[in-house]
Amino acid sequence: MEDRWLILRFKRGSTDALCRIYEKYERAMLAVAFGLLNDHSAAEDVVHDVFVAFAQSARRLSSAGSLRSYLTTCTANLARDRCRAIRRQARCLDGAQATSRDAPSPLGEVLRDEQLRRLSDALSQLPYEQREIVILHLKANMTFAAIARAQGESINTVQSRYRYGIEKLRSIFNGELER
Amino acid sequence: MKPAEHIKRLLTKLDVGPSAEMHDRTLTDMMAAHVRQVERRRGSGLPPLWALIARYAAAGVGIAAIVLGIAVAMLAIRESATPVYAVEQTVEAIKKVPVVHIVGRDWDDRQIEMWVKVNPETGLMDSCQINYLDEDRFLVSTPRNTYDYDGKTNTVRIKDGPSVASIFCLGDFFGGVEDLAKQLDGKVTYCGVTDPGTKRSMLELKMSAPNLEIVCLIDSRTKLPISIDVTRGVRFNRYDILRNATLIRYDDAPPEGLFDFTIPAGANITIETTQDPLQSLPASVLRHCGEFHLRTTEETAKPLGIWVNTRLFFVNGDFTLRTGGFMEIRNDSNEVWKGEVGVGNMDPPNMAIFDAATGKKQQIRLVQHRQSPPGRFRVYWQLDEPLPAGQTRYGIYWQNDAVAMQQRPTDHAYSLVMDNRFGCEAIENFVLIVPPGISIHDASTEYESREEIEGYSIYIWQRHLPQQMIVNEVQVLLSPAGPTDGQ
Repeated sequence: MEDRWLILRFKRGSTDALCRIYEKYERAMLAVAFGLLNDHSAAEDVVHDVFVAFAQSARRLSSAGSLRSYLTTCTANLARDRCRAIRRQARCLDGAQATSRDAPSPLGEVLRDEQLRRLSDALSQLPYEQREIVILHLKANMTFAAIARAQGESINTVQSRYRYGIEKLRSIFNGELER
Repeated sequence: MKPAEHIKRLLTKLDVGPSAEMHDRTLTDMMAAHVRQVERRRGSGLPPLWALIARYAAAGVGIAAIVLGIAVAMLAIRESATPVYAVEQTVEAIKKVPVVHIVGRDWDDRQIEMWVKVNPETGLMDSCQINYLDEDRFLVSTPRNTYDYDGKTNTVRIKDGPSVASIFCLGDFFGGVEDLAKQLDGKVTYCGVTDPGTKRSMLELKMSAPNLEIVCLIDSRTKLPISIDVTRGVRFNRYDILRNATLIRYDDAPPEGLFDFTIPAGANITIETTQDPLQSLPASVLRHCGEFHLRTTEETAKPLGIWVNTRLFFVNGDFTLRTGGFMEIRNDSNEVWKGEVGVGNMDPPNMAIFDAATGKKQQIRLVQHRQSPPGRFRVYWQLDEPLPAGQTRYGIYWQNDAVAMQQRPTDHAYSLVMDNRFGCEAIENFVLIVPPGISIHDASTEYESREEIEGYSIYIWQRHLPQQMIVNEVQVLLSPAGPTDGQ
């Protein structure tokens, strides 16, 4: 409910409301972007761009929807664009991807938990479409219906990708998750 | 533990902190973008009145004070001639407006914003939302219920029917203004004024009585009021909400889902309702459940020669649960059945039976058995139409009072366990019905199908039970504020 109130104030030009929205969702959006991109600085860039665009969206913004869902969708969209750009760049650079995969990633500095490191590595092995759905559903708590709407896909497709993603994660972990 | 749950648990630990550089850079760029945006809006083609308000609102100055100043300035430039006008024109014009957006102050001098949906048939208010702009509070009133949310205490009060606030009605006020003046020994006068900003001509309607004065500005072209101000007097009755409506707009698109209320996660719920939630359940929802039960019987169970058992779980918007199931009466006699038919023994403090084919509520009669313990009754279904020989009639029964569901402190989700021990080979269906604004957060078994009918979601789990008795159980977590689509 606080969100609705914040949106109303933000739409009326309140900078305090904008700051509060940023403080409230910065970490959550960063975690989503990080989960999707597996790169801390790229995730920071995405979150930066999301909030700068959000600051300009007061007139378009509806006060009725879920702010968290809106910001998560924006973050996922930008992360997807960023991922495509990285893939294109990687194709141009021939083998650059392999180098970056092997090099110690900023992830190593951020995640001290071995299990988390393994999860993050496992996530990065999923096709992006599956990874996005797993992160949005399990990390951002978005429903399959909301993800389907945001991605313009059918709910069945989203659920299938989720199932494949979870299955693949399970196989990567060699059944460890079921213990 | 399911793999998804394990991964979810790991993902909750995925908490990445921003670097100081990123934090500063984002804040700086975001604020710069925001300021640019506000500046652009100031220079946009908004009507002068709104442009002024946007500017002063951004500067933190009360909207009402500014608008009041403008209203006073307008009144100063009066025209002497009074244009031809009848107040009925305003009443008729209001009837054609689907949504009214109002900003003003209430009798406690709180700044409020109202969205009012007008019923095109009556011209009266259908639903409304009131936002208290200086408090974390808002109220949604619909013909069915009123939800009053107080953010400070995170409490929702749910009442039967529309709020007293919804008695506020523009059409009513204008339709009755002449009578009101007579009652109070006052009079109504009209005169023409010009808005100095738009140069448009306006009508000023003034109702003056010894203890009350109300001034309204009416757009001469549209005949719609653009401001209403009680300039003198006290609250006329306790249902009055607005002391002044400083801005009234008719062309603002209301935000999507404006009159849908979703109970916030973790909110305390106070129910001040006596209405049985079953009364609000659309007949089409029950019909759908009935059709599903019959289809299962015909297509799946009959070829196997086994039973179908369908259990119903209805969660209301205030997270109270009613459980029920399907019943059938088969006329195995050679005569037409009329009147009432015994359908079993129950202990039903709040038993209800609905026809599965039509969704219509049925009359029942409860008879205390002499041999039965107190509180246990024989239930008779009073047939509203005769049941021919060899025919079967299906009913849906609800067997208990609404029970408040338990909320988990960890994630504020509501836990529901649907279980049954049928005892022989059968097809068992668990049907979960939830109203708009409630969604499944997690489930121990994925549901088989989901349908949405008149906003209600109907989830179905189906299982082929073996011959030996087992516990068929599905655990579901329901969440009050499932994420919605992006905007």
